[in-house]
Amino acid sequence: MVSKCCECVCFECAGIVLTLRFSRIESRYWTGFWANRNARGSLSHRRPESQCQAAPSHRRLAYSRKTDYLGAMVAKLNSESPLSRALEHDLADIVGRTHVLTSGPDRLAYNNDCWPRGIILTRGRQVRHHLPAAIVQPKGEHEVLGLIQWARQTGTPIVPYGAGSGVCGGAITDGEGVIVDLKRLNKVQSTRSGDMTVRAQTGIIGMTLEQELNRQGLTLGHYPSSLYCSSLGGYLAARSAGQYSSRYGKIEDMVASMRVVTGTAEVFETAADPLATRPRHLVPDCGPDMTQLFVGSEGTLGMLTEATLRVAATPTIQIYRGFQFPSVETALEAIRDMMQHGVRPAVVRLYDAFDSLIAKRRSGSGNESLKTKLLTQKLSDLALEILPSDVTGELKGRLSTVKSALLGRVLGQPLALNRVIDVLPTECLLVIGFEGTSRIVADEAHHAFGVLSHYGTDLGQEPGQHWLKNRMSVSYKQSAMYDAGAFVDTMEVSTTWANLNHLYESVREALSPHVLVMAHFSHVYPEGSSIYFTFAGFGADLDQTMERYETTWRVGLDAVAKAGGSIAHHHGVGQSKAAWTHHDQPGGSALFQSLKTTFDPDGIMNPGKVYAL
Amino acid sequence: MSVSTKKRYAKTFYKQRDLPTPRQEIWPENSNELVDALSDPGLDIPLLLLGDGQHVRPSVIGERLFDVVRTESCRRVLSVDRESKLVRVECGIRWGDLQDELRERGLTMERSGLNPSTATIGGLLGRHHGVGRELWDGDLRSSCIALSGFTPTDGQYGYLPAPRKASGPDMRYLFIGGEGFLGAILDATFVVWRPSEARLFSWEISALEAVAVNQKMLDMGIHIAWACHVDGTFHAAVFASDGVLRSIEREISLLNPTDIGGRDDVTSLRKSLELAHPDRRESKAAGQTHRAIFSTEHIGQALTALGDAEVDIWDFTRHRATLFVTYPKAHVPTELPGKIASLTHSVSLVASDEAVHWSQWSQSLKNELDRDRRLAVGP
Repeated sequence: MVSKCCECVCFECAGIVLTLRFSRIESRYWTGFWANRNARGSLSHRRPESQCQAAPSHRRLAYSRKTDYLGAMVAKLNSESPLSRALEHDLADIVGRTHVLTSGPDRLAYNNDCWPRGIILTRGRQVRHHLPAAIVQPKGEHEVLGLIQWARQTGTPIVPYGAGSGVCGGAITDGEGVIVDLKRLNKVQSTRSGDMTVRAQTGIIGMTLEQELNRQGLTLGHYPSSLYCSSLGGYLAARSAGQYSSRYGKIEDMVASMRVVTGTAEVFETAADPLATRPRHLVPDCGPDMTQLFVGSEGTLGMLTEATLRVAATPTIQIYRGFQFPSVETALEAIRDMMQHGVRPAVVRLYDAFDSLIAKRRSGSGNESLKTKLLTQKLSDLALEILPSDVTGELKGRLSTVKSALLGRVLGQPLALNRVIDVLPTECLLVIGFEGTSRIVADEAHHAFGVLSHYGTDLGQEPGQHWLKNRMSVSYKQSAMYDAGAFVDTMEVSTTWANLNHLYESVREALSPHVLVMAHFSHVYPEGSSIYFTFAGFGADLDQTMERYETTWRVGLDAVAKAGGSIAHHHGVGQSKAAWTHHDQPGGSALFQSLKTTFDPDGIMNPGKVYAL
Repeated sequence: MSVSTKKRYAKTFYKQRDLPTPRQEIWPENSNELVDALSDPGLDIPLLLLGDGQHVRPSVIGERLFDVVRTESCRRVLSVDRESKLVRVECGIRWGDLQDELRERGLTMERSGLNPSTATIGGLLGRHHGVGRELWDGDLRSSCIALSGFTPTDGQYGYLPAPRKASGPDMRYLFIGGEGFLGAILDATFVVWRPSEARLFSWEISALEAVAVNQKMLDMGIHIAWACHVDGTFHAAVFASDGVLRSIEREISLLNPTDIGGRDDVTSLRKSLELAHPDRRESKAAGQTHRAIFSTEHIGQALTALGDAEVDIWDFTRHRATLFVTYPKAHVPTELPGKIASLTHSVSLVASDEAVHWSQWSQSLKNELDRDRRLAVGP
């Protein structure tokens, strides 16, 4: 299973790997998805039409562009599958021959999830780093159990795989491992309005689950931008957050229990689910809370096959608003004040000055000098190229693409560029939304808007409505930036209110010499907030791009750790942050090793992820 | 070892709680001494970590001899972050004392659910819960954003105070709900609030009617901080700004409450309820009272099936409720009536001594984290 992104720069750079995966292997699921678009239900207000129409045509385009290179690569890969015939037979006995994939294109398609590092490598024609030996697609828990038993007997690493939208390298293997694609475990088993819960298999795509709930007047309230191409198992594996997390919580707040097949091939329920038809003895009656230990384990301890989640009534009232603040500091103070009044907004998104430039471009507001206007014009053009931002969706379609030479020149001097950003007008934009099923929501919203008005200017409904309309308008095409030798990635961190400005400034300062950096604040709590950094950099060739990419992450996460922030808020750890996890949980490496020894004594479950042991 | 030992409490303290008597008690004065006690190289029998002893289950100790580490002197408020509204406290502080300390500092945890006021923070977090936490459920686990722990094999562990991390498994949960099985909770950091306006809505109605009223309030979008049905009255406490509270009052008046109280009423009722909370082994009815957690799907069915038994509900959420079912002294069934027993999330006597089953993985975890069996709880 893989981590999930709620912001989705990742889908800008899904690239050839995702293209292949969708076109060759996942076509059956996407076919189902397109068909589902016409399903009747109350989800229509959430459906992002632009992405629905964009993805298939783009798949064709991207594929044709790369055909020559791929042809040669695929032919070579077809001739060198590392899995012996005997082992292939073993796997076929467990899941059926048609669900054991060993061809070159299939292995290439699972070469990377949406980890930008992998995309850089792929664009640099380096596709052999994480090729799996095979991909298997089990249908049920008994097949998952069989696969784990097989892996133990043969000592083969196995990597659980949901929909591959993770951005931290959480679902990649190393040439020897086998990918276990869980998307055939895709049933909603029961939906219960009596206790407002749903039981589903973990391979189900988020949107499919949400549609099923919507038909019954319910919602999970979990809306990552990756909703259309991410799985329930992925959400659970990586502690995912959706855009509405301030009201509905993160996935770890929603899950009531899970069905787990551990790396020792033991099956249990992490907590009681009285409506589930299974023996109660599978539920531990003593010892630690296994639900919270397996949420976020990223497939390193076992595979999640089913989960019971708490749901809510579909909202009938939505109230959205925009506010402008003179500075990020003032805006954060306003949000803190509001949250500590105990209100529960559904959406809170604060864009820092650079992010907010895009909104200013759209509205034509501002009274800057001509010089500043020219500068902001250039920067916002650049930002529009970099950002898949929900705020920019409309503009993005109308603006021309930045030429690669300009891109290289600009991103090649990140320190100067970031210093320029520092002297830009400091106003920033907040989008806030409330939703619910009763008129009390309106009173709560009114109270919150009153608090915010003490600190900033009420811009009315338009910014919020615009966000609502475009919030899922992410593109599935790979950014042209990668062809120009550039990269874009995101870093989601969190900390307490008292430490928030310090963390924000520390990370900006650390990243500035290496990449262009901007940020927004999109998951807020009474005690603190997350910060979502987006950064873009450039290298003259693959080696330099990779070096800059690695350096950026190293200095960025070092700065987060030094400033006392958490290294991950909702993308998970995967391989990319595994060397920094101990900062969030000092002493945690030893405890994690104990969990591994207990649940995965053979070290076969998604090795190398979560902690760098 | 500089940790003091005492024996004088042994008989009455343990008898009141129907717990086996230890060989001796060890009283660390702070969390450093607590670590010293657990690391003592001269340890000859295992240790049981005990706060106020309200929730420990003798069955998790088994027949072994043990010493007790009483944590109640580890009660310091370690830090208060007023900007982030966070307080960090040692594990031995009593729940009632913590609330008093916060009141003196102009802060409050009154939005939390109801807990026995004499129970310690470590005990409330460490007890076996039966169900997971829920968002906004008032459970202390929900407002605990950081924790320090200690395991005999691997030593100190910390969980960074930052909201909602996605950095691997949340290993606080080796301690939370673990009953001192793998290690000790040393300190915990909680979200607190500045005092705000509040209303106490009360209805003199049956438990079954209370379930329906609670549901209607949730459907109205009202954020209920805590609710209970005790002695024939359903109480719901709501915290919000004046404007929102006025709107809520208008809505709730449609449900005909018997009484509407203000902030002082909320505080006063909360204090008296927490003093008399039934979820204490030392409570007089602990041997005749089942604590049963039902899904909201089944509460109506359960209440009907329980017939004449005295039933109070101390914890309502959208998804579940915790029932305390008290039988007359002469008649204590070992299980709830068959037709509803299988529907519970979790059920046991408050003074539980029912056998537990240690799974294979729990034995392995014990071998890993408490290799020398310094802690008395476990297989």
